[in-house]
Amino acid sequence: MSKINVKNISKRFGSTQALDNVSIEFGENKIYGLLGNNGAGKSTLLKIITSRIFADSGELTLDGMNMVDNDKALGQMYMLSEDNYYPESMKVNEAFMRAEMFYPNFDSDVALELAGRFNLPMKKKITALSTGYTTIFKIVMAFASNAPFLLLDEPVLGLDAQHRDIFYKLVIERYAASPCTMVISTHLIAEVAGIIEHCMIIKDGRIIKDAPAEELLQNGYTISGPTALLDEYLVGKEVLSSSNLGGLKTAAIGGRMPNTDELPAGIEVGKMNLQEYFIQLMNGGEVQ
Amino acid sequence: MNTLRLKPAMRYQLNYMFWASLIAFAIAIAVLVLLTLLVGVTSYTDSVEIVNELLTDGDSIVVDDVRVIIDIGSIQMDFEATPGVFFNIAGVFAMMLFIIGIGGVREDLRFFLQHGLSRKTTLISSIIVSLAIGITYTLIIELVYLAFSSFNFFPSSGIRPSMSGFFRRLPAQALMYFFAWQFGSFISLLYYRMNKAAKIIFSITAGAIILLAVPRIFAIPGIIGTIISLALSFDIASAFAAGTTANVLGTTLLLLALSAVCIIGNFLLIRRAPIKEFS
Repeated sequence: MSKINVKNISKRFGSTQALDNVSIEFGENKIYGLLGNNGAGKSTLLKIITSRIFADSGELTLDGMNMVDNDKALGQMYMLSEDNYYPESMKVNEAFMRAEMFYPNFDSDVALELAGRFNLPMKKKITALSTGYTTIFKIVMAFASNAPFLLLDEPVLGLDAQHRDIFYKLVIERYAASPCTMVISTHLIAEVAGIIEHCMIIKDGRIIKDAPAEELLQNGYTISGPTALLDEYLVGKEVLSSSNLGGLKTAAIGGRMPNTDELPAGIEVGKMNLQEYFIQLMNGGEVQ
Repeated sequence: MNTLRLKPAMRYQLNYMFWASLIAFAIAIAVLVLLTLLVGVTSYTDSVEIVNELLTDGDSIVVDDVRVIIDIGSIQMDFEATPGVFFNIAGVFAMMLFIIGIGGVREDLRFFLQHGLSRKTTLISSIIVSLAIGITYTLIIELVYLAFSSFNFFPSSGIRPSMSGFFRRLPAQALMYFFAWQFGSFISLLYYRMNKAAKIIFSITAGAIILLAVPRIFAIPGIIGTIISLALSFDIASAFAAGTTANVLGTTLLLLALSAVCIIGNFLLIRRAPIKEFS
């Protein structure tokens, strides 16, 4: 079973501690969500895993093999990032052609099919593409590469709603057709919440949560109802956040979700979503 | 254990070089054919008027038995028939490989890493490919020399004394191209690894050296020229270069040593190089 092991990785840029003793593991055939605010250290971590930059300390292994600047390990990954590492003169169709040299399982048919689905202009230079189409080009490359590990750093950057929808469907289709490990690093949590199996939440360079998404969300719930009624119910409860709209109040509560028959009439209960959970964590609240 | 994936890296670099070389050689051969035609015209006609008709306004041409001079504004090309001194095809290609070394190394480094190849692979692939290119260019350029040798377009001095010692001078010529590429890569990587302050200092220093060297190169007389000459020790460098290039073996050894220095430098610069985006 292939797995990437990140052990005690630290990285400092000048006076900024970008990563602080990070230890995580990416197992085989799972969709991971690497979630964090801007500047939390998500991209730095992925860049270190793919040897684009080096860690100050720590260990990186793929099935026990040292990954740092190692062809064998790097060849099993494709990283989609905001940065452009393609030559200025290279066209989209040329990049697909070249990719076959580097990724033995690169599927040109898939690349062409996806390019068509996104209306990606094939004869344009990569550097001349708009931000959205540059992202689309990289998405196509990533999925056509058939690499066992896809590291997708902000994969919907610059995409419009329609293309974002295509992307999320693609993730599911690709995973169903040929499972692989995907690490989706993003700050758009609400959008990825439905597709990620395992959450890693990073804050100020430290991993503060590393658990299956389902498990995390079992530790809280949301409740809504008329303000007066809800205020009465909330006494003694661990209120993580609340909001009022007209006479209706909604609150996020820590703890296990109650049965509906335990609730007063007029109050509705629902699962806490990942975004609400994330916001609580970022605000310093700890959902037990 | 790091298993190098050299095959895709070399394939990519050779593919790029194939097209770049094809264009460059096509241009070089076109120039030579054009010159051949020009010399042919001037050799077989004793009339300046006929040749002048071929030129556009502002150009002039002087024809005698052995010499053609074309004066286009401030650029003067001296087509001297015996011995030929005007078209140093080997120098042109060495310069081209130097520029490829400068531009290619950073581009390849980024592109290869995006496609799962390590820095070590990038470096080793570039060494093998530049060596292969050096040998190939040497052979092709020798053929070009041979094909056009009767027209005496080429320099007869330097590391190309005659066609007879071809195999003896092959390593020196191939190493010249190899060194040009590796030296270009070295300069490029050195600049790439510098921080902003170092880049500014480097750029100013390099600019200053060029500005200081220009007066020396054009031998401006006077105290300034003497001071610069002494300060930069051009005479010492010239004497050293003359000593080592007087024979082919010396040239080969010098180029080998310089190439080795560049390779070591490139290794040290590339091994921990962070990958920066194209700007």
